[in-house]
Amino acid sequence: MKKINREHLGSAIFVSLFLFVLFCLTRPPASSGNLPSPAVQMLNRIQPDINDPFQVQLFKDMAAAFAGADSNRFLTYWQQMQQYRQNQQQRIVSRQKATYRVSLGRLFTMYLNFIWIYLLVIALTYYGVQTLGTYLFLRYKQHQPSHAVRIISAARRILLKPTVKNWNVFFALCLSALIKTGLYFVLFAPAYVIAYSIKSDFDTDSTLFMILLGIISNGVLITYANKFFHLLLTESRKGYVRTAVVKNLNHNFTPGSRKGISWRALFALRKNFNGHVLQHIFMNARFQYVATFKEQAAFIITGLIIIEMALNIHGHLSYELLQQLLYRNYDLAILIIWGIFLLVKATEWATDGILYRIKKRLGYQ
Amino acid sequence: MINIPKRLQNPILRFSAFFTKFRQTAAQKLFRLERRLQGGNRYAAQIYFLFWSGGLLLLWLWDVLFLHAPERHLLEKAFVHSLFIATLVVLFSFAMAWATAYSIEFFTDRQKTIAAGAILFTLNLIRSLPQIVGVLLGYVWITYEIQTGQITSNIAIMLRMSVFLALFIFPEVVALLRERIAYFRQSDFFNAMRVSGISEWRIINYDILWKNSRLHILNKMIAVFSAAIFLQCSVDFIVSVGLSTRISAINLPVTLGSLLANIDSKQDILAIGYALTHPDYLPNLFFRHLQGISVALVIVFTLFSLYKITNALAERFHL
Repeated sequence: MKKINREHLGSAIFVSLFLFVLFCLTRPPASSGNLPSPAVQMLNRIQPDINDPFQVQLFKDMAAAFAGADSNRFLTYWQQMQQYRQNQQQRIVSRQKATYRVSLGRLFTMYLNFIWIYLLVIALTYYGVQTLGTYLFLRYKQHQPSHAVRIISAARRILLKPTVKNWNVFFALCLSALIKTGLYFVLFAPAYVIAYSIKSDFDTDSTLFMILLGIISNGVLITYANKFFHLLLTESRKGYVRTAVVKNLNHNFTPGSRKGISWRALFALRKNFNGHVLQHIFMNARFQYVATFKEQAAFIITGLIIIEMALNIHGHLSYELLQQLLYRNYDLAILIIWGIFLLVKATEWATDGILYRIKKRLGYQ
Repeated sequence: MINIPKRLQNPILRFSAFFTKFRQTAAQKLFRLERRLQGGNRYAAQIYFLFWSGGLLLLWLWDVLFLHAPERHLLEKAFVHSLFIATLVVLFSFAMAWATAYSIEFFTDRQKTIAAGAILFTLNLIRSLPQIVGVLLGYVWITYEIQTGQITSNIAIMLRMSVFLALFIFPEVVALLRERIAYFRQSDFFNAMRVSGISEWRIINYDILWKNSRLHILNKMIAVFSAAIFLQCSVDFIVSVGLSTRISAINLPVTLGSLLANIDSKQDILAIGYALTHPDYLPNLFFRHLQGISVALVIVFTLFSLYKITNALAERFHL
C-alpha cells in the first residue's frame, strides 16, 4: 500500500507544483494606474497617427524647428505617448478579460458541483454496468438465436406458408430488431447528438439531464457492460464452475424464474445470488472489473466534460474552462485543469486502494 | 418443338409454377443461411465491415438523390478529413506506443530503472489528464499557430490535430504492447531464445509483436480509430460551438464534428425530437433535414460498426 501511496502522492505533488508555477506565470499583473507627464497627455490629446510616416516626420521637423538642439526631448515625448497608447490598449483587453473572470469561491462551488455529479454518474454507471452485463450474460445462457437468425427463420416460414400469423411474427421481429438497433444507436451516440435532438438550449437546471446523458451516452454504459459480460463469460468457463455444476449447485440461469435468477436479485443494488453458481462467477468477475475502473472513471470524466462544454451549460466547471480559455484567462483555466487532475488522481488512488484491500483479503498480497 | 405440359400452357399457371419454385429455392437458401448463422459466424468482423461500408454507401446514394450538392460536397469533405485524421492518429499512436514500450523494456532489461521509471511516470501523468482536456489544449495551441500565421495549409493543421489526439490515446496502446511482452516474457520460449543468442530486438519485435500479437494490435488499432473519431468529433464540435467567436470555421478544416456544430445541422438534429412527438413529421427527416441527420448518422453508425468489428474479432480469435 505504501508503494501505491508513494506513486500517487509523487505524481500529484509533481503536477501540482508544475501547474502552480504555470498559474503564477500566467496570472495577470496588477495594472499600474500611473499617468504620463502632462506634456505626453497633451500630445496624445491631439491624436496624431503614429503609424503615418508623414505625421511622424512632421512632428520631428516641428520639434527641430521649435527646440533646435533640444528636440530630442520632444522625440522622447512621442515615444512615451506610443507606450502610453499600448498600455491603454492592454488595459482594455485586461478589462475585457476581467469581465469574464470568475471568483475563486464561485469556481470552488462549481468544482464541488462537478464532483457531486461525477460521483453520482460513476455510482449509477457502476450499478448499470453490472446489471446490464449480468442481464446480457443470463440472456446468453438461454442460448436463444440472434435476431437476425429469427428474422431469417420467420421469412423462410412465410415463403413456405404465407399465413397472417407468420407475417405478424415476421413484422414483430423486424420491429423489435429496429427498436434494438435504435437503442444501440442511442447508447453509442455522442452526448451532444442525443441532447440536441431533444432540446435546443440548456441551463443550470439541466443537471439531471446531464447525469442521464453521462450514464447512457458516449458508449460508456454499453462498452463496460459488454466488458463485464465477457468477464462473466470467461469466468463461467473455468473449471471451478464446472465442478460446482457437477456437485449440483444451482445453475439454472433463467431470469425471472423461481428456480433461476430472480429479477429482484438481478436489479438489487448489492447483488447477491446465494446458493447459485452465478454468485461465484459474479464475485470473481467483479474483482476483475474493479481493476478496469480507473479507465472507466477517466472515460466518464471525459464524457462529462464533453457534455458541459458541448451543451454550453452555464455555471458549470467545464463550460467555465472553455470560457476562460476563450478569454485567455489561462491562470483560471490552469486552476480548473488542476482540479480535474486531482479528481482523476483521487479516483485512481481509491481504485488501487480498494484493489489492494481485496487482494489482501483474498491472500494475494 | 418443345412439348410444354398442358397445365403449364396457361401463363398464369406458368407464373404460379415459377413462383412456387422460386419460393422453395429461396426458402432453402434462407435455411442454409440460418444454419450457418446459428453455428457462429467465422466472418462476423468482415460482415460488420461490409455492413458499415454498405450503410455508408447507401447513405451517400440517398444524399446524392436528395441532398443539395454544396451541402453534400461539404459532408464528403468532412468525412474524408475525419477519416484522414483518424488514420493518422492510428499510425502516430502506434509509432509512439511502440517506441515507448520498447524503451521501457530496453531500460528495464539493462537495470536502468530511473530512465524506465521516468517514462512510466510521464505515461501515468498523460493518463491522469482526461483526454478531452489534453486535446482541447492542443487545439488552443493550433489556433494560436493559425492566428500568428505559422500554419496555413489544411494538411499541416490536420497533421497537428492528429499528433495531439495520438498523444492522449497512445498510452492505451502502450499498455497492450507491454501486456503482450510481459505475457511472453514469463514463458520459457523467451529465455530459450535469449540463450540461443537471438537478440532481444528480434524476440520482442518479430516473435512477440509480429508473430504472436498481430491480431491483438489490429483489434486495438480499430478501437483507437474509433476513439480518434469520437474525440475528434467532440473537440471539433466543442471548438465550433464554444470558441466560435474567435475561431471562425474557415480557419480549421471542416470535419464531421464541426459540420454537426453548424446551426443548420443542429436544427436538423432537433427535428428528430420533434418527429418523436409529431410522428407525421417523420418523413421530413429523410428529405428536409438531411444534412444534420446524415452527419449524426455517419458518426453514430461508424462508432457502432467499429465497436461491433472489434467485438467480433475479439470473439473470433479469443483476444
